[in-house]
Amino acid sequence: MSHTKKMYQITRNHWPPYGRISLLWTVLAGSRLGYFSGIALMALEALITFTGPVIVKLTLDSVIGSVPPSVPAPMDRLAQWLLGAGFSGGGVLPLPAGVVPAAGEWIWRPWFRSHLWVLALAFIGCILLQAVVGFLASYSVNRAAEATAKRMRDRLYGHIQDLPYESLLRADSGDWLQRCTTDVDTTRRFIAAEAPELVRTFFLVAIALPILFSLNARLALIGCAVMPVIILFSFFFHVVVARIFRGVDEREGVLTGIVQETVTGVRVVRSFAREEYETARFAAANDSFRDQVYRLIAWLAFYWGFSSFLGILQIAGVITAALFFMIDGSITIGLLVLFITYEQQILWPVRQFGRILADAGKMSVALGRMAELLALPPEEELEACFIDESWVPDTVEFEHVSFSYPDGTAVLKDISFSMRAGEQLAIVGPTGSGKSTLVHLLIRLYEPDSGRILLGGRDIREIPKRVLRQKVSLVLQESFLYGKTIRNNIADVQEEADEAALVDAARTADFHRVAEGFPHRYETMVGERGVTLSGGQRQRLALTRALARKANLLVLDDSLSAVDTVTDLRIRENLGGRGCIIIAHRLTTLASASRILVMEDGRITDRGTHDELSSRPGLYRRLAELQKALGRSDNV
Amino acid sequence: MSDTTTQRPEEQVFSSRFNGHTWMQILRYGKMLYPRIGLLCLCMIVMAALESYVPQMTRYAVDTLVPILGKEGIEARIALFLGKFAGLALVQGSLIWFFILVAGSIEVRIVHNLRERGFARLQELSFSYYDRTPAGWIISRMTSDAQKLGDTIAWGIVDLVWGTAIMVSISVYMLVMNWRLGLFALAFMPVLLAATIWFQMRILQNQRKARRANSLLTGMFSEGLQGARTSKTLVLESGNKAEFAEESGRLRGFAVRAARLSALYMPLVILLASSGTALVLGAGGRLVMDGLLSYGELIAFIAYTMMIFDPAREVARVLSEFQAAQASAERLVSLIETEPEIVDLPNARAEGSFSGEIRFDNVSFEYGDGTWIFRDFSLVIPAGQTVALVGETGSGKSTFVNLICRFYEPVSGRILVDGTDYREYTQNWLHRKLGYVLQTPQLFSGTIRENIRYGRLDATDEEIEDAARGANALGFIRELEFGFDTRVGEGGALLSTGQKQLISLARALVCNPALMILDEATSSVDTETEVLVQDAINTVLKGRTSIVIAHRLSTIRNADRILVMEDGEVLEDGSHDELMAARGRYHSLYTRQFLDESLDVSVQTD
Repeated sequence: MSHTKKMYQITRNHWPPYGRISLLWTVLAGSRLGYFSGIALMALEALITFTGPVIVKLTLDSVIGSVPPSVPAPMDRLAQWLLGAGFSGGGVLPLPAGVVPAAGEWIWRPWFRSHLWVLALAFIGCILLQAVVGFLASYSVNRAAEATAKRMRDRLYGHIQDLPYESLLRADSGDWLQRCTTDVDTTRRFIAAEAPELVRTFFLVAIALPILFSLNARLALIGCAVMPVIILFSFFFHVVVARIFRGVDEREGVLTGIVQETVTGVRVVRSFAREEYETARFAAANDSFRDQVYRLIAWLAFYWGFSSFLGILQIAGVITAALFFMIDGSITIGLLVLFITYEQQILWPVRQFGRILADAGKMSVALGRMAELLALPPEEELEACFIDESWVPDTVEFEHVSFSYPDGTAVLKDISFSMRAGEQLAIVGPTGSGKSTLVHLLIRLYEPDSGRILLGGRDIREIPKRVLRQKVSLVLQESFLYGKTIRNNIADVQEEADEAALVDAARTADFHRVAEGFPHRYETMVGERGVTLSGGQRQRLALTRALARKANLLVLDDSLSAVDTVTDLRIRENLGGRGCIIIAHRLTTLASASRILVMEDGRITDRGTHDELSSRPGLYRRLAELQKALGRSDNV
Repeated sequence: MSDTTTQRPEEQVFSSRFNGHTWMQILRYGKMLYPRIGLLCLCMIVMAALESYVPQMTRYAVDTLVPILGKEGIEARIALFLGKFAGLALVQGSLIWFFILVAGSIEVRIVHNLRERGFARLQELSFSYYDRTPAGWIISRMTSDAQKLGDTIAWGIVDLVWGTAIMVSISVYMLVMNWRLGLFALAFMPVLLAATIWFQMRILQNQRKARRANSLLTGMFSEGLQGARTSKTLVLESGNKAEFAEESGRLRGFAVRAARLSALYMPLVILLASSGTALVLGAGGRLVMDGLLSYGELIAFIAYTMMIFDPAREVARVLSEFQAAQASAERLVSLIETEPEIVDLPNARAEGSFSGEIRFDNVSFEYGDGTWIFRDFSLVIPAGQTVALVGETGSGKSTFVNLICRFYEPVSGRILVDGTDYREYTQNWLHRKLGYVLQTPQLFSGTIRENIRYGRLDATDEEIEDAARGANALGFIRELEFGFDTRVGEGGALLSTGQKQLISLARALVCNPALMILDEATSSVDTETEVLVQDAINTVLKGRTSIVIAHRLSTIRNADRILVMEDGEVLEDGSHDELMAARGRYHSLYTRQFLDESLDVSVQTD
């Protein structure tokens, strides 16, 4: 049987089952309504933004001044179409035709002149409406974005947990971590801030341009003169600057790396008297980082300087042009103020436009990187219905098992052996002989290419992986301990820990006295935020954890290597008649096993008890003699 | 010793009281930047003045140019006006370009300077500092704290000076144009400022909580990744996922709260600011109708009320950011000001030969917690002797080595090297004479060659190759694709434990020290590598004074002298044969811990 061609490593630009857009769409699920109503509110808010200045214009021109209020021609036509051909445009609000007196002064002017505060109040009313809508828009968009970010994080974390062993083995953890944190953040920022801003800018421009053009087309044309220039300039600028940004990131990485190494390796630095050398190395990195940041800032300075210049020039142009147009009376002062206000309202977002577009590129990369990770196929057959109370997996049978790694290297060749209930089976062999792979097959971290493995008389392919792994407790060569308390490392946090079982397991692994030695005993934190355990203590804690799981079969993959000989012996005595498979290098460990398998180059080359194996030539005897030589001094 | 160094960085974020000392120190560090800062302030004031002048231009157009429109020579005046305006645009644009350059140069120099000082101090600090300060905290001080402080100071000055100047000049313009209306328009300012400060503090607080939750989450990601294989074998996945979901939910909670505050804040400030505009519109309009205010002035007033809220917001934001940055400043200052406990004496010698003889003369030592590790400890190690230290954890072996290396100094008594108190020499002198091989080999990112050369910077490629040969590392190095130029990865992560051990031995060999300190690794590598390591150790120890914290049987037996230590005392002192014959502690230790291993095997095979 040949293994199916599967992906275990991240492939660049490989997104199935998700495209980037569909990934974004998927993680938005549950927040879509909130998000898009937020976006719609944002557009509404942009629309309301334009009402305040209209009131100011009305006040300046038609209340303080005497120009009758007029609506833009298109609106006038719309009103006529709706209200009848006799309607003639009244004011800013489509006032009935009757209020426009023939005498030249419009009829409501005297009333407004004596009730100016009504206009002031109306202005505040507009802003209040803008504020309420703005708040609702911003809040619902952010809420949706945060919920989406949470879904992305949960999904990525869960996906990693369910990846096959092989993928996890090959994981580049720094890169993966970045995909789960920075890339999520980039995407979150985009949907929370940049996408809405993009929409808002679009609406601001889309609303402002028709209004400006309908108010005065000539002035509007001048008012928009620099806009395309600013947009193009800002876009290309941000594309260029992205490269410099990457340089900053890289140099910061180098700088942080040096600090990290010299702090964690301070003993080496000091004992080789390399302080000056390290200081010089750091100084060089520090200089180079400073120069790159400054380079970035210099570009930004140019960008902001130039775009501000264009912005002010634009306003100067509008005022000047307006003055000329005022000569022939085609515009009023109020209209000029309205123009300037609108200009200022849209110039700023437009200047940001290029940055946002450049950021959209970043988000697309980030989404792609997440999608690449999610495209790794998860492990199959993890869970399935499996109920067989009578099944006790205490015997093991390998029948002609062969296995090659996904990259094609053959590891195990025709392995057959059996282990009786309660037996202590030891496996020994040089590095790369396939010992670890053999026990990995036992809990279906890998699947054999041919042959079959029986556990308690059942083919393990019938047993869902999670059930299997609960029944067989494997302690890895380098077990990972979590940054939690000792207790939470031992017991599954979700379950109520059985104190007696926990202490019992700790006693068996000879860890109880270690834990009791700490001031907070089993509540002591492990790792950076708590105690640092020695190699042997770590291994004993890992063993405790495995024992506490009440599995039927215990498998130790060289997992007591850092424990001293006496403790090792004590632990093995504590384990008593428990059935277990032990991979070990230490002869004393091997000698006490009921049977030993000797592995070389993927095959079982010899098997038997310690006495049998050391009495006949072969790898085992050579190993025994090597260790004896190490242990023996020349002068005895 | 200031207690801030031992606290967690996050816990003391809200040292809400103004810390004058810290800021004074920061000011002192930045002395050489004063001229630049002065220039920056000047620049910002000019900019603020120009910016607040723009509405005056509009006013001029409306009040002066509009009434004479259509009259003779108006085109020339309009052209002049446009010229002035364009000039203003050019000056303003250049000023913006210039101030960003100046502020940026200040930012990068502050960050650079703080890092330089911090790093230099880290090179001097005693081991006691490293022993009680986790690496992560030191690194975040050197990276994010320094960056944050530089950002806050440089751009804080910009916004603070610009904001204050523009608020002042706007107020002046308004009061000069019409002081009654001006006061009216400014009535909302205090409310605006107060609301802004309140909101900014709240928002920062929530953002900080969110950031903390975020870094916790990053930690969980990292654990989830590194521990995934273990989780898989122990079937912990669903528990992990639930735990993670809970934590990511907490992060969402904080983030949403911060977002809600921000969402509430902006509209509120705009509303407050607009109330000023509305007041001016209502009251000012009346004044215009009564002929007490010109048209242009009203327009300028409206522009000013719309302009003033932005600087107010900036000033309030900067103030609360300085508040937040104070924590970063305190942490950095406390690092830079931490006095090293071990300093060279003023007249310490930097030169002198060293044969390798070491003498402890009535040495007493404790780590500062009142528990004496050594009391009146005396001992002589003649030049060229290999000494194995044997004893349980806590017996004083590591302290013994720390004292010899002068990582710590005796509280009383003396340690003599070739008969001279080692305090008469510089630390650097001693360390140059010293080779040190750690229990867990610590390599630096770079190539294998660079790592071996670390032992002696002027070593030739031949010497490096010789050292690698002596340390039995040549074999595996040659098999690598790039040989000596193979990159080892961060901390040597791309090599196996055994390979790292061999390279760290080669590094010690190339240094050819008079005194070799070796802390033997406890965890075993596979038997064949073990033989290589063992053999390399024998090469490294040969012909020089060596002190070994020993775990391997053969190392102990090969030593000229064995010191059995317990509770800071030498219980037994002698060669293997002597101590075995004495049938004391060593004998029982030996039989208990090691004998079973060798006897067991030899009985079976003989």
